Amino acid sequence: MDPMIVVDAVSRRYGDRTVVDGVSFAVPRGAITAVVGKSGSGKSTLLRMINRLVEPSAGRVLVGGRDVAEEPGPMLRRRIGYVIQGIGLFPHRTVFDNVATVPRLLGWPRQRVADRVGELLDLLGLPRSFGERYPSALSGGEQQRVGIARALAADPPVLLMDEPFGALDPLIRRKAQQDLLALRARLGTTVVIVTHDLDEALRLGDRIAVMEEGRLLQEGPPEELLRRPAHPAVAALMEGARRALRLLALVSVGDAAEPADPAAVGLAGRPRIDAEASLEEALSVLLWAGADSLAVDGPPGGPPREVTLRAILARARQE
Amino acid sequence: MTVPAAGTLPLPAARRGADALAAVLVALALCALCLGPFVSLKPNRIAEGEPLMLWSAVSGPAAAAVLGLLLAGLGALATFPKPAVRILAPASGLAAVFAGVIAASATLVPAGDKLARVSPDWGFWLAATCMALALTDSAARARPSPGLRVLAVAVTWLLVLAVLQAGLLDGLSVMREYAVRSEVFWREMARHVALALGSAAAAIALGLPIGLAIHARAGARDPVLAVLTAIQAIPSIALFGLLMAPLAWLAHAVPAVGALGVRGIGAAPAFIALTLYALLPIVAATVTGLAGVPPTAVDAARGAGMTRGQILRAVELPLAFAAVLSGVRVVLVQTIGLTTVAALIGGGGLGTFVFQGLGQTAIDLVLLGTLPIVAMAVTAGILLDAAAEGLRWTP
Repeated sequence: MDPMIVVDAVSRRYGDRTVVDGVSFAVPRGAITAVVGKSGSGKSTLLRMINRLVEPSAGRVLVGGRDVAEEPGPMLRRRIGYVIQGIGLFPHRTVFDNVATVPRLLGWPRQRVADRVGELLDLLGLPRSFGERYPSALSGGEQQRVGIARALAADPPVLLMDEPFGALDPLIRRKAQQDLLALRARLGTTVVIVTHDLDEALRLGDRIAVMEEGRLLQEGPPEELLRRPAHPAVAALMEGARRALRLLALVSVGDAAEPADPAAVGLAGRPRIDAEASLEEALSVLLWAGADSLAVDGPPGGPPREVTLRAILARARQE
Repeated sequence: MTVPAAGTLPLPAARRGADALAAVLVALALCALCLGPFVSLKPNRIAEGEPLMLWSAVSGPAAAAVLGLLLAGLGALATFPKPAVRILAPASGLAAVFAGVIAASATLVPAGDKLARVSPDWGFWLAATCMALALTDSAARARPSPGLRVLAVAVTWLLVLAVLQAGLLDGLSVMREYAVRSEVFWREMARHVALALGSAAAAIALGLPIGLAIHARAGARDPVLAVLTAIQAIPSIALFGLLMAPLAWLAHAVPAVGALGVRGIGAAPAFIALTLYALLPIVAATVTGLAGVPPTAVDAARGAGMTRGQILRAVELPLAFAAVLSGVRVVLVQTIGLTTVAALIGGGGLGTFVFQGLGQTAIDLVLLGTLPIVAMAVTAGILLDAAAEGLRWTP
């Protein structure tokens, strides 16, 4: 299938400073690509060239197979969702009016706008009564969700996110990340998310792009970056010593579980773990219990399964 | 409880216990009435006035009533300092001294005497000022809603006009000056208002676009603001003088301009000078207001696909509105006062009376020009403050 976004040899220069230098990569339809890098690595500028908030000095960007330069910037941006770290809700407009921004720009009839705003508040788990409130009356996490609702209002096929969870505290941040994965699964939106947090990138990204000083060092699935870093800086970012644990964090218990022998001694008495949990968590439970296998819960009605220390170690081993 | 609007001074929260300020001011007013002459009586405009204490100016019972009312107010403030008392005590005191002046002019000026006149003396002025201060402070602490403030201003104006209309103050020297030039007074008043409002409107029409244009361009912002600040620093008389020669030349060289009434002296240079003075507050307020718009909101607006004009209309201007309005308030108050000077170059306005009065050492004539100017400036300030607060976007 055609990729949803193609970034083709894109550069951006300010005077004699090159902020983004010949970057190329593609984002498959419905995938999440996480762009990681330190501040000043050019990752935000790269993101802003996809919806033309910044014009490339060289190269081109295709969204849905079409060169973005063919269309006036404002028209293009109404088709692409955009979420930023500061959230940028309009403080003088109610939550309803904030979410309704793009549908109104597109000239939707009133009733359709109202229906859509209600739908989005439901989707993001916000009570519909929040529509009448002003952003200042909401918590940081709630404002963040309103920001995402506003970005998704016109049902864009592509969502660009620039450090969207940067201002949230760790617990709410974790929840927001899970919500994003759930939204993507439900809507099939293609997402590019910029972050400086590697754990966030590994948790969210189907693919990861590592930027440094304007260059794209490596782009690929998380496991590939962990196992075969193409550049010393990528290896350093992945923190070599911890990469086995990071690999385990990418795999769910369900994927590594094997059928258990119902006759085996003490299956019922063994420690248990949910099939949705990661192998990293399973390893921690095993170490804590001093056991060498765990009984796996779910999916309901299936045959009894177990995950063994041997299987976990095999997943974390260097190839 | 309402939150004070941005741009207004933060007020101390209403205090429990005795309100020292209001009580001290009312006590000071009492001292002023007991120690200073209340009015002075002149047999005619030029003669030396004879200072009279309150109890010599009005009947004994009337004087006792005025002093008694103030004393009662002071007692109430000391024992029962509720917000209502803090407003009522100075308000009733203020009404009492004004009633005293009305009574004095009725008692002292024989009926039918068109020459004798009564002027308030320093005892009255000090007492009235003290109580006006106490009233303003108490009213501000009560944090009335914008609507209530507008209502209070309207009621005060109606009351003052009714008192004037009823002729209750006709024996006062200021009203004597008015009586002989009432026609000129209203003409100059209209001129004054037209000059002040016209130049303020011109400054808004010019200043807002200038502010918008220089807001995003640091290279242009600083020089423009520096030039406008320099203009503000030119003394008004000098600015009028600077404008005379070019305008006289323009009227001469381009007859069409001359036909419009533009001359080296008169209303044209006054209008231009007043507009120039008003530009800095408007431009500075616009720039400040736009600088206060959260950059993330503008970025999000661009990201949502708003055009430059849509961002300006839907995000930047509404968020900068309160700041711009406070600039308009500064300009209106400043311009109403500054228009006085227009009289010096033949621009007319209430300044005509001020400078005539100064020339003739007729302080009553100066007051005839000054009092309406002060009243209009204060009114404009209160109304625009109320508008700025009433039209704010914050819930």
